[in-house]
Amino acid sequence: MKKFFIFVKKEVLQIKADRFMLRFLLLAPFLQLIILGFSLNQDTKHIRTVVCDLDKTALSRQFVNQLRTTDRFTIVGETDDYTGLERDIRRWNAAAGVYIAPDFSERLTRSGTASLTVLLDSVNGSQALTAYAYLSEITAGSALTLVPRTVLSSYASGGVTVVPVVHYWYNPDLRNESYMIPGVAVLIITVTTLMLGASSLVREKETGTLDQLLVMPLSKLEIIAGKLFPFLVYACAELFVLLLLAGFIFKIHMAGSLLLLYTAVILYLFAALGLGLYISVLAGTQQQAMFIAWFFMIFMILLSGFLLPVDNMPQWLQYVTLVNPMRYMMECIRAVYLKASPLSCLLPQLIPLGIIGTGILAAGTALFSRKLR
Amino acid sequence: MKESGFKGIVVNEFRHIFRDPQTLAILFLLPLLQMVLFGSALSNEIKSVPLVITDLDNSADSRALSETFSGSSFFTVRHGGTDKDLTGLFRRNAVLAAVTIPAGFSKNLARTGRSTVDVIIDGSDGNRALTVNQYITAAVHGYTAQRFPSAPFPVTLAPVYLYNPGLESAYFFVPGLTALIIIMVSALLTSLTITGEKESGTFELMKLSPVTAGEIILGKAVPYLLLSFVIGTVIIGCSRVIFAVPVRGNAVLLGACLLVYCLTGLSFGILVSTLVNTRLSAMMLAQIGTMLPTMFLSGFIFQTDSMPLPLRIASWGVPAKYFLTIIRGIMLKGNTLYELRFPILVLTLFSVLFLGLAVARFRSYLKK
Amino acid sequence: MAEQIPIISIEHLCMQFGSFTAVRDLTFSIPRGSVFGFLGANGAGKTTTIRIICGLLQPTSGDVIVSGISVRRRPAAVKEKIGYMSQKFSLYGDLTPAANLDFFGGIYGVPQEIINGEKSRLAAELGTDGFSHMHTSELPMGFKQRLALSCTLLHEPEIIILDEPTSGVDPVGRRAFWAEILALSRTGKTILVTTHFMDEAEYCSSIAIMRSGELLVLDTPAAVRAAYGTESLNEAFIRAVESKGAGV
Repeated sequence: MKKFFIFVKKEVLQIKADRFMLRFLLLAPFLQLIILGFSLNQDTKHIRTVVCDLDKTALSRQFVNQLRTTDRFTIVGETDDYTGLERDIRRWNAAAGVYIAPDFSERLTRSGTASLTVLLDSVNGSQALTAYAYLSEITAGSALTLVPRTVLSSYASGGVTVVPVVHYWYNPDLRNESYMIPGVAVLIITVTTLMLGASSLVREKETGTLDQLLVMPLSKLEIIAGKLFPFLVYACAELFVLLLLAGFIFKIHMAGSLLLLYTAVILYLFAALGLGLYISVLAGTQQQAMFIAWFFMIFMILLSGFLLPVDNMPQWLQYVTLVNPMRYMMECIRAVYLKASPLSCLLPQLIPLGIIGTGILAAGTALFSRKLR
Repeated sequence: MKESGFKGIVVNEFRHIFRDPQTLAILFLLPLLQMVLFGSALSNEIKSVPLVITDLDNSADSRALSETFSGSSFFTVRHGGTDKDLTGLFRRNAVLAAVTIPAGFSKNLARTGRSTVDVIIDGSDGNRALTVNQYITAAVHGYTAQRFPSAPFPVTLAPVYLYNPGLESAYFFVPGLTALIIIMVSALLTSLTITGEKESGTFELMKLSPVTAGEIILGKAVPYLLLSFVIGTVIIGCSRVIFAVPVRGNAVLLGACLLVYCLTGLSFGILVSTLVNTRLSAMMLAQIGTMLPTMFLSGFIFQTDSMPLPLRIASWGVPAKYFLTIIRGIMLKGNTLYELRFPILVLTLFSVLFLGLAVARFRSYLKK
Repeated sequence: MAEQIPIISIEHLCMQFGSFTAVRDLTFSIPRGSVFGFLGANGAGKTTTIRIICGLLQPTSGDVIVSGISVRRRPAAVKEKIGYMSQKFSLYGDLTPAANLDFFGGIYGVPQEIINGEKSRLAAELGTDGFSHMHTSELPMGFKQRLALSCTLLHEPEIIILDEPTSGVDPVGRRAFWAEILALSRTGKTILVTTHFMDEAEYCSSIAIMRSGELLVLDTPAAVRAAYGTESLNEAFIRAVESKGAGV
């Protein structure tokens, strides 16, 4: 054990000696948290809208006002014909267009129903749907206040309504931060462990000190453990600081058990470090190590459910994510943060994490030993 | 290698590129692989909402409501029991929503024409929760419209989904991926080769030869411009073939803009190579400078309109933002050159800026 | 006169990397207390043989007995007996000399007082203030070499293996280095050296010339010169390596 600590001490001294690395390790997570945290908060607001009101009655103007007063939409212009709406959307000046036909209020008072056409820029399909949902809400709400009493009462007595009363569990305000920021924290610690862990071992190879280490009475296990342990500790500490900062800056707080979270984190770090070890054996230079690590990271991130849910992916791809440790870590941290999930609920994530983590670490160690026989 | 001047540099670079067929293969295959994987992975559409329905009324009306959900392909329904079960189901991510039809549902409808239904939705992922709400509300409305037909609601909205009536996720993400991959590849290409020469010492030799800074930079840019343009076309072709994203506008215009975009990436890579000395740092800087801003600040996935002001301002400095408008505009909207004049201009300015800076730095380096 | 009991016995050593044979049926022994020179062109198999002796590489067949311990069976035990200094010095350039000594000494289990003693000796001898503050990579070549040697000797190994220790060092530095080596040998330590400098090979008590994985010549420097009928060891070496058959 003593040799292990001497080794770790050397590692720490080396990390301290590298000024660039030190600054990177201390500052980058903080910066990343801020930038990612703010950019990922995707509350759709200020949808640029153009209006074409050909009715020009008090009714239609009041309706347009409803749009003006909400912050979901921002009216950026008015046109006097339908094609004008389409043109503005095509030219990226607006994302939505509302067309009120000349006989809108007339039809409403006469027959009791009228419709509004809304043009939606559907390049981003999901945004289009969201815009439509908001518009529907506003239309429904304003109809109750704007539509003449006579029309409204005939509707109300004839019809039957079933009203869904919706409760949002775990994140009642539907804050994006609560969901994304713990994910960002996982991302940040992955970058550190994977990339730095990989390049650290390769650096010994490059400078020739690896041979020296192997001649010394140090077992391969001691070398590997000594190399990876500082990053394990650092990542755990980094995560803690990040989550504290997240609490201050973004006002998100963990609902569940810190102990449970860290159980998952440590298993996850085994996987990340194991992967870094594997990469370092394959790479000849630090540059190669970083490149391969980066490559793996992109795949891990995009197939982890961080940005978009795994459930949305085609089935074959969902199977692929089953080997991605980051997928399980995302699920764990979100479950612990938002749902205060107990151990029993997290076993379907912890068990695979444990298997993958110890598996990769073992494979990396075996490869390391074999490559140097 | 004995040819001098601009032409010589170009020929030399081409030789370097083709000497290494493995790297060339990777340069083409890797982006393709990423396109296929991520193009498939990124999707906004919820396939089917896992839902648990608890029917406490057990009437014809409530059973019909239950059927509405079970029969819909938007939901995967299981029938539930008690409250305790619910918590477990949610925590285990077995369901995204729970609908509880209260006892007295049918009676209330008959007596007052109105009844509530309790809906619980997992709010963890806020966006998804909103969508689930929409699905459930739509299903409930469908139920009332069918079972209790009545006068329609006074004001209805008729939506027209422009450019993407099928609301395909691929239409949105695939052009974005294209922009991301191309700028990463082109920046890496130039930044790695030049710093590679710095590391191996062949760069020094350039000081001895009678070439100007401009000739060096353009000489290096041209072959890689062609290479990244070919890679870019392959990727766009891939979007057409695999993901069926159309090209409604002028393909030649798209090609020209692709060329300008590649040039922007390449010139950024050249600029990076003047700032660092090792390939490791070049790679890190090129990646940080291209991938991160493009992923988060260009409108690739996240709309910049909703971001706080400092980030919105930062997004103006991301070349990919402008190319995204261009590629989405040409492919999906059929935008013309005139309509895209602003982003095209800005992209050109970026190239000029990066190239100019690189030339300036090269000049001072050669003078020493 | 040094004892003739072999401290290192190489027995029918073979090393194959795939289809390439780096070392072919090598058999010889190195007497205790000798200064043994390993010569040969690049790729002759000297580095591979040394790596096997150090326990870095497992031989394909055959064995090396180091101080009574089989390298094949107990490589870890062999490592305690050996001090190895490679051509690149293998010091941590981004650590201070003091930190390097602490590390090497610590891993070998050398008591702290001895490490500290060595630290003061080096600091005083070379008069560098920066001893505790400068990065090793910033220090002059000669000092790095001395430091590397100190790190190698801290745990007082019986056998010292030096792989081209003086490459890149000027003639004065080389002479000083060899003075130290010979002094060490007089205390009873066995020293294995590989070198391309033939004038240094003259200092050795015996030399072995390898070619294509095989032992060509093993004898004292004087005998080797006589065998090839040359004035200088340099000439003898060239003739040995370039000749079609075995030597004499």
